[in-house]
Amino acid sequence: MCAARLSDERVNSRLRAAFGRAFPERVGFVWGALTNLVTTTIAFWVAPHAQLAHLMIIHLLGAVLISTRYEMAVSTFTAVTGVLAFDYFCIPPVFAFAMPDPHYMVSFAGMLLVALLVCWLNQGLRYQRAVARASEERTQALCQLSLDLSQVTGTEQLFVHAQRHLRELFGEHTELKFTQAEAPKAAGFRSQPIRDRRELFGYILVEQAKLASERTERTLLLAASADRIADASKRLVMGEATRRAEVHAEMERNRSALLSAVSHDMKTPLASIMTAGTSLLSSSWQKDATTRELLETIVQESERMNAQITNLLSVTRLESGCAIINKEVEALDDLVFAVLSRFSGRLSGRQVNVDIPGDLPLVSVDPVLIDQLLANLLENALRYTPGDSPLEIRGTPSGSGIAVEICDRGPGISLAERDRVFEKFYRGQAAKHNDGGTGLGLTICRAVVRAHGGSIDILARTGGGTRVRFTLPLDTGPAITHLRLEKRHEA
Amino acid sequence: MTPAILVIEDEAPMRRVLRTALGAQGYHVWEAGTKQDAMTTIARRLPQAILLDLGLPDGDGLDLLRVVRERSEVPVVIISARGEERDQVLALDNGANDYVTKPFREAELLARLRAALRSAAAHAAPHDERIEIGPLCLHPRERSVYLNGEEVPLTPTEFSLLQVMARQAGRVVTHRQLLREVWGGSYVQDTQYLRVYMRQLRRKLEQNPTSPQLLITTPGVGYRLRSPDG
Repeated sequence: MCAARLSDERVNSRLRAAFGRAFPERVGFVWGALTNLVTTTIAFWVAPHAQLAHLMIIHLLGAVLISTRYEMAVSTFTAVTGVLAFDYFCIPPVFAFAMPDPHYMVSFAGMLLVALLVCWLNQGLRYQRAVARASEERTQALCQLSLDLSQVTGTEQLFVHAQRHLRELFGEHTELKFTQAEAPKAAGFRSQPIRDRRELFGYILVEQAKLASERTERTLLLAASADRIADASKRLVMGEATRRAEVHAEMERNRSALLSAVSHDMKTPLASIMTAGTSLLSSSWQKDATTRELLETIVQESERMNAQITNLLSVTRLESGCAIINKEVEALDDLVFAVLSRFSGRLSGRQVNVDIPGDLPLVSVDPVLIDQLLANLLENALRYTPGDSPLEIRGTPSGSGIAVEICDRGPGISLAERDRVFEKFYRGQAAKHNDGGTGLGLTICRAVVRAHGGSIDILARTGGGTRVRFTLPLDTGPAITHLRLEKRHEA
Repeated sequence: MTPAILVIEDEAPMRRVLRTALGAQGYHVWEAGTKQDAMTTIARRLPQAILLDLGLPDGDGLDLLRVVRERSEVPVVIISARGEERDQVLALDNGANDYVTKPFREAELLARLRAALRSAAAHAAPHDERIEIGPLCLHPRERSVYLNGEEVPLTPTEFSLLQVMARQAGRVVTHRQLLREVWGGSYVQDTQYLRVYMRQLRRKLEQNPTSPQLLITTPGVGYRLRSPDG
């Protein structure tokens, strides 16, 4: 009985929480008494014509009826008083509690037990119904909330809809706030953070009175609502990020297309200018020194402009990811010689040491891109070092690839600048304003090396000067060596 | 007889420059601004050489090249822009003799054109004739090579490689062409063979192997055996 009461109280507190109001217990006792009055009157009236079992049923009915509406205490009260009234009014001797036959004792005990059992079952049923109804209400409220929030397209709209739902559920004083800050402490209010696993979006302030206690249906509803709002916020944030990325990609595409078109349109007349200039230079008519110099300027400047447009186009292509890398198996010395022979005119008077061992592994690279990389590095070395200082190009095996170094005896690059020189349009301290550089050369170098999965660094050189070192992974199986080839094809 | 050169180029200023430059060298210059124009001209009579810009407004220059090759072996030098190495290689593999990349110096264009005209004449010569290029002298019958009068021992593969390039001295020969002619059709993808043999050839033929003067690489396209006037 004691356990029953305890659970009774717990159930009641849940029911109270579920329905949000206290049970009118006293009214229950009055109703119990009244029911007993009615059943006893009926029993008393029909007693002379009925058997004992019929009378017992009538009394039981009263207690069961009460138990469908009221809690256990009321039902128990009704059952016990019912049994007493039955004994007093219906069992001879009438108007006395005396019990002549001990058989009646057994009947009464049975009757009381059945009444209590039915009351107890009814209690459970009622509780479950209440829980089911509360949970259905919660589900419905959350569904409505989710549906509404799923259609919002902006933070402002999200706030309005969420606020309206929360106020419908938790009263007019409910406050919703989207902020990264912690919720303020307010007496009589409870704060519910809106967050997912990583991010805090804001909080909800709800009157404590609207929630009853911890772990009730209302608190669960509040937490679930906060989850839905967090989901919607996250969706908005991610949608915004996706949209921004799309806009950015579109801009990049436009920029590339524009640059590509512009550079083509600029290069076409440049080609005519250059051929015309060189044609005039080599033509047979007599030219004085000034004319020759002017013609040479035309040719040199159009060459320079062409190089700049090429660099600009390359950097745009490489950075936008539009560049296609056509890898071929290449020998480093091959590529280095190609660049050196292109620069042969400007290299005269310089000592250039090429140290690439004959058994250096072949690498799988895009020859055109690597050619541009080497040309840019050589261009820098030529531009920023004295005209008679020596250059050195070295190739060595390195880890699972090769390392290439281009060394000069120029002024060197200060430690502070060694990373910055790779930035777009950054010009080093040594760069003169009118030296023809664009600040793109090293940016392209880095982009090319990275596109091949390697790295590029500027290092100090013992004895003064700059050492640019980049690595290229092998990418394809083992290197094919000289000897193995001879055996395979000429044995 | 002065050779006639057909210039197929859609840019009028460039055509004008080429007309003047080639005219000054004593060539007859025919011009075509579109693929259609070029087809009409070729249908009437063939020039001694063709300068072909790949980017034509009314069609692919490659198609035009194929049409020309169906009819004759007239030397074709491609004019293309930088960054179009794939198209250059495609054109060379489809029978173009050489290419120049815009912007180019007049001297470069003339050298390519001369080499193309010369090798067209050499093609007609018997295959086992002695070939002389600057300091090099190849004797195909004996399969021997002399550099500045001294014999250089070459392996059979090295000799074949050098011979293919010598026949087209001054012109670029694509990787695919070299592989096909030296190793055979099934090796056209194996560029690594070329890299290794080119290294060996340079070691044997170049005065200073770290600064080649004879065997010139054109990245992404192929190799060129430099001839004295190119």
